[in-house]
Amino acid sequence: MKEADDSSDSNELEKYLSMGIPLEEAKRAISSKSEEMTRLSNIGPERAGEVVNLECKILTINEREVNLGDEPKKAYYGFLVDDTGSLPYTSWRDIPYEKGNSVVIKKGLVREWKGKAEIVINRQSVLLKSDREFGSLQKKKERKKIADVRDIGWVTVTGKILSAERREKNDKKFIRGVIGDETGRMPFTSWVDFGFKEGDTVEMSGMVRSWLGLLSLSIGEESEVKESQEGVEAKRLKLSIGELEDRGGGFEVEVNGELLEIQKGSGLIVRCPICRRAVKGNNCTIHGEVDGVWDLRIKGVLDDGTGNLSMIIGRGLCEELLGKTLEEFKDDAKNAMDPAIVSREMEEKLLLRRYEVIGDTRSDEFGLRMMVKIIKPAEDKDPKKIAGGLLEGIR
Amino acid sequence: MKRETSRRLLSMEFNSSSIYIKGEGERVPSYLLTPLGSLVNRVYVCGVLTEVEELENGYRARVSDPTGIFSIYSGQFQPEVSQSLSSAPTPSYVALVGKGRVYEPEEGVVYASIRPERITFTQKRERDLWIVKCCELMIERIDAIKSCLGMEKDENEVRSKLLAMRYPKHIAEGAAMAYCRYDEIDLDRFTGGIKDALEYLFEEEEVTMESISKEGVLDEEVLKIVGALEGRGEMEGGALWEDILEKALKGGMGEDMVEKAIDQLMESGRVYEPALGVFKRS
Repeated sequence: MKEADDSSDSNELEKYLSMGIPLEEAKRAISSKSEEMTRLSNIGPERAGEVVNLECKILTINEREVNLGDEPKKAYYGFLVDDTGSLPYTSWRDIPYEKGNSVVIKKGLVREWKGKAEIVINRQSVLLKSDREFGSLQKKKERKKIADVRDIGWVTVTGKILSAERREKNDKKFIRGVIGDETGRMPFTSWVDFGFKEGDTVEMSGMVRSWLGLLSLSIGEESEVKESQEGVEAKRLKLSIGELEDRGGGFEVEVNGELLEIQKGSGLIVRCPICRRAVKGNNCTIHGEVDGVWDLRIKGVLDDGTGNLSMIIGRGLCEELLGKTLEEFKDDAKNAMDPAIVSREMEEKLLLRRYEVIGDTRSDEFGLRMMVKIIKPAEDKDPKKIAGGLLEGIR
Repeated sequence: MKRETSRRLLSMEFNSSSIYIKGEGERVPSYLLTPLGSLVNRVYVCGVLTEVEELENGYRARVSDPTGIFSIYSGQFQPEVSQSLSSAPTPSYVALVGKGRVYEPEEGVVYASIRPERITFTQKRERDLWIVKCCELMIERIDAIKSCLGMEKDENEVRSKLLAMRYPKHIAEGAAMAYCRYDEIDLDRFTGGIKDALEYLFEEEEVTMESISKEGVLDEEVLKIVGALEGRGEMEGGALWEDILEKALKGGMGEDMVEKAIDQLMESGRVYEPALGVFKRS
């Protein structure tokens, strides 16, 4: 295989440009002629549109049906790895190999997907079998603290198994759980039973992927899980809301701030018994006339001056915060003949107060959204102590 | 649309702003740009409500912190806030969240005020914590502005340099704008204000509402006040009634409470009156 030659490349580029071809198209055209092999770690989203040749291992092959136009089309997707890194791929053609096989992909297309690079294998691409071993990958897997896991890709973490629940779906057995170290926690799904259980401290490697908008570790046959002797104290990631905004969310994170707004849809609500959506007048938009179920919730805004998030506080937590049960609130509303009395009580008791909140946080175009798991009045701090420290700093 | 975060800043920073960035078009937020680079659309304040005045169609109020006052205007679209203000005692500790507003009588002259969305009563402790939080964030902003000094006034470039220095996004953005758009930023004045505000928290323990409510504590507090004021001036080494009263009132006691406490202290012999209107510890 020919190595890259800068001088001949630039000559070639000049030739294209002198013929009046736009720069981007010229680059694409040259890259598609090139025989040069590209390493996965050198491919970023900025190279979208380029055509590359790769030698790598197909780590996973998943199948999915896509409806493009009239007939459904089969697409395959998964991850490619080489000695330098890994990238997701999508293939629009059959892959005549199995997962774990090494291949040469000629004329794969780089595209950008949600800010990350991805390889597309299409009609122009050529797939060949390769004999090269990529066994050294295990050692190349990056070791990270859980709080530093910010992207999809291979990673090795060491932490305590905080929960491990065996489940089964479509005849496939798996373990869903949470692993934590001193910087934070993350959920994992293990498709292979490595024999670990809750309370164990392990070193595990796996593929980080996005799961319902949060990062999750996927443990498969390629993974390694072994007992660790490290003394790990599992803690939650605690940060400012501004930092959480910059991260784009997180699993079981802790923030601190003031409840600045209790939004419409808070208080006593009625849900459809089938889909759990809030309904009006016992009329569900999906299920029509239903026998609604009473519930309690708060849709609130938490703000700490660096950022803000909208959070949903469910019935149990509402009852705890307000010291009253759903039944008591229902009586209040009945006596007052006004269900809005409940949200007004929430406002009076809770607004403009400080809270410590723990929950799963995702982000979308409206900002951060948290499903609250724990909420309590913020711990009392001594203003003088903090003030003393600040004065030291500016003196 | 994303909700605007409520900024935390002392009245001094808020009132020093002279740049208002008006959002063009529908639903584009407007911001008050402070000299320290806080982009204020919404603001959260804890302070002392010192004055409420009824206007034709709403209320005007003053909320003070150790560096100055926030002007509050509540109109007909905030009926709940107006209602709270109409019956609020002064002075009292309040917490409020609202939108920053400006009145620009002429180019470059900006009067900033707040239109509250929510208001509630709060405690001294929360107010103190708010002061500390404001100072923390203001120090962070001052630090970012300091890092700008000497850079060319090119907003994009300054911002990316600050981001490269690991300043959080909201700090880098605001600092770059303030540094490039304000001719001069008097950092020393703001540092001085922060110092004053923090030192204020250490001033001689005032008598708080909470301590008064505890039985028997009142006498002790008044005795402390007498002790602190003794020996000022000629007054037979005692403390002047007016001074005792003034200090106690500042601490939140009522006049009748102070009088009662002095009576009790005299009765138990812990305080005597060497001259009319002068009190001294035995």
